[in-house]
Amino acid sequence: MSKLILVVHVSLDGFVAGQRGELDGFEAGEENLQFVCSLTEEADTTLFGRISYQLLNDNWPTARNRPNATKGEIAYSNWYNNAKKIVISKTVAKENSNNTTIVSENILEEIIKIKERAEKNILIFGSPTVSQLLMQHNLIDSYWIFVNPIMFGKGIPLFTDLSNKIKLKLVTTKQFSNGEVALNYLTERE
Amino acid sequence: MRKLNIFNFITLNGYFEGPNHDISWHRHGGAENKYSDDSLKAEGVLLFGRKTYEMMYSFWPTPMAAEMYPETAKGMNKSEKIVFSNSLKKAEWNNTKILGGNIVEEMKRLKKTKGNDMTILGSGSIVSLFTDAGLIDSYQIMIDPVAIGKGTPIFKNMKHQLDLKLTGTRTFKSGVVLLSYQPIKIDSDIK
Repeated sequence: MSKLILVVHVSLDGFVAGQRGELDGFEAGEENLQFVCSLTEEADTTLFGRISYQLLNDNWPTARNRPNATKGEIAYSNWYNNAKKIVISKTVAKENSNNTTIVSENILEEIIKIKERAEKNILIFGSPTVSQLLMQHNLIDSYWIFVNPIMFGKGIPLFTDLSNKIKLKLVTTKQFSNGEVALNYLTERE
Repeated sequence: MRKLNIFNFITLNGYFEGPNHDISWHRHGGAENKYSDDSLKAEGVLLFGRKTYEMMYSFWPTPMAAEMYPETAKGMNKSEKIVFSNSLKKAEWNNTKILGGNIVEEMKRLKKTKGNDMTILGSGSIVSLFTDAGLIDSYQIMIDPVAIGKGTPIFKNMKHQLDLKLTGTRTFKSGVVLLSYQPIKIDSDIK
């Protein structure tokens, strides 16, 4: 069975975005993107909530065509276009184009099926609402949490109101030149 | 000028304590203890808000603490301590002073006096207050490999976003990661 991996940027105080969903506190870097590309090499499917899907889908399908696109941007854009995209949403219109499937019902059952079918790993980017649901049902296998050198004070939390404590096992950490630290965890299953 | 530092441990989702001040999720193994003990040996002044003070005072002077963490207990009891509170009348813990009133002004004044550097432990509300006032010189945050359901965010009610510079990382065997930062902007009038 493939692994479901959450890749997410957070502030030091645990927010994935500011109060209005703004992401300007996070500084993207080529080094970080190339690192993410090392994760995408092992994955063929990506999964999001509606908001993260819309954010990524506005940019990545065409990012590789920009004249100033970096090596990392071209690689990620290529991967994104080839990956199977699963969007968890009740409101996004059904579309079969660009390798995209919309899941609006029986979300957990569908994701379990997708995990069983995928040949390589499945990456979730951002998507705090969906991540939280999957985390609570023990469906996320590992985490890459990019801790940014910033504190928001308030915002959209990565995990909130969990019904039970979730214990993780630290596998490794990676420090980037822009001050981000990526923490890699595995879910501890008893 | 004395430095004001913050040392705290948090869950991966940014809480420094769960409901009812629960910190049982924190993995405090041998290496983390040694780190705390070494920090205590630097003879810095320890600062707390009232709630953290009461929690610490209910533990560190006890025989149980002396048995479980002899070095840390010795350091904690001996260190110079300040508790910020308007309601606390008397601080019974050894070497402890109470400061009340306008604590931001008190802190500005304290930083200009002679003495050892100061470290705030726990104490969510004063951490946010001093952060907003630009009074913190460094942040040392231990992140535990755990997410808890509910809790108190470490920088709750902070008014301004704060940009930081990463100055160090350290990984403990327990899976705790220590991240050290300095704020990028400090108000010029308090430098």
